Amino acid sequence: MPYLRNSIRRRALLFILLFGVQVGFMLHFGLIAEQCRTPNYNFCPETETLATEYQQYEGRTLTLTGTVVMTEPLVIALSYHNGVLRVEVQSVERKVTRGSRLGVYGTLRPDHVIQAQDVIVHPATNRRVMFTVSVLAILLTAALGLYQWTFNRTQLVFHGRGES
Amino acid sequence: MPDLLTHVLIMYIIVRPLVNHIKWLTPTAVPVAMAGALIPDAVKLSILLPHYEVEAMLGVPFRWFPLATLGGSLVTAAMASLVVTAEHRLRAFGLLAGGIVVHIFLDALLLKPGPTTPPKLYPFTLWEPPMIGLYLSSDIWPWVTSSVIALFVMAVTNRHVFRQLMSDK
Repeated sequence: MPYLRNSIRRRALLFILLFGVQVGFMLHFGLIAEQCRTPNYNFCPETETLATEYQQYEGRTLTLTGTVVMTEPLVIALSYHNGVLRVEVQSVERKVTRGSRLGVYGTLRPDHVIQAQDVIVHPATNRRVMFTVSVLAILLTAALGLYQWTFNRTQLVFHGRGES
Repeated sequence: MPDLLTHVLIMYIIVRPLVNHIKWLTPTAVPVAMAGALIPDAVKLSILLPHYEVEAMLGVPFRWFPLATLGGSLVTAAMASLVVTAEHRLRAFGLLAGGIVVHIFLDALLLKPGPTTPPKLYPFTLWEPPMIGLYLSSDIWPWVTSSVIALFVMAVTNRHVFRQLMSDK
């Protein structure tokens, strides 16, 4: 079984094969998202599609996530390949600050307006803290990994310190 | 996702006590399980290179999302475990898979707008679990709580080391 061999060549081949499977998943899911086969979650429509064919989606209930760029009225910005789509969010009771990340589930209205049914807000400060502690997590795991494991440059494998 | 720190600390809290009780589970298992909890967040590559930029380059529909799913993460774990010696490869894969499963479970408890959460069981199913909504990904209390518990676990599981240090003084 190639998976359980130490040969660099066999492992490299298997790595390339698995990488191909991973790319296949990403291309396949691209099709799923494009064909709107996940109707409840916000893979569909694409922001670019929404920006260019907005009227087709009027009256539909969907989820949008963007950065708050204006608070009076409340406007979020969603980036896509060729630009930025700005959508006004109505019926939001809570106070929101500029720079926060806002997820909104609601009904799309004419003139780039969404009538919110459900809203979540990630304050900008919390997001900065989240990114900082996430970097800390990567460093912590790497440090513990290097403490417990050592790298064999000849065989290009890690083995546990003190293990055969 | 909750922040990554919560994910890796939860794995530490689960696996570290088991090291003292399961013979084949050595301390080397702990960082591997923690690394498994990092794998689904490889999807954050999308921050550096958004999917629409990749689509523009390739000319075909593309999403990074499978990297965060059970299937995609298991493929990443299989790739990662290839850099471990053959004797330890299956065990490493199992530990990485454990981290992935816990990560996806914790993500299923996130508060998101709308009635459902993303289909993280892809490619096995496109089912979108109902939203439970215990916490926001940007909440601070999950990592503070898990840090306190992880410190407690570290103190208890390494108590002999602390006793040794105290007696040396």
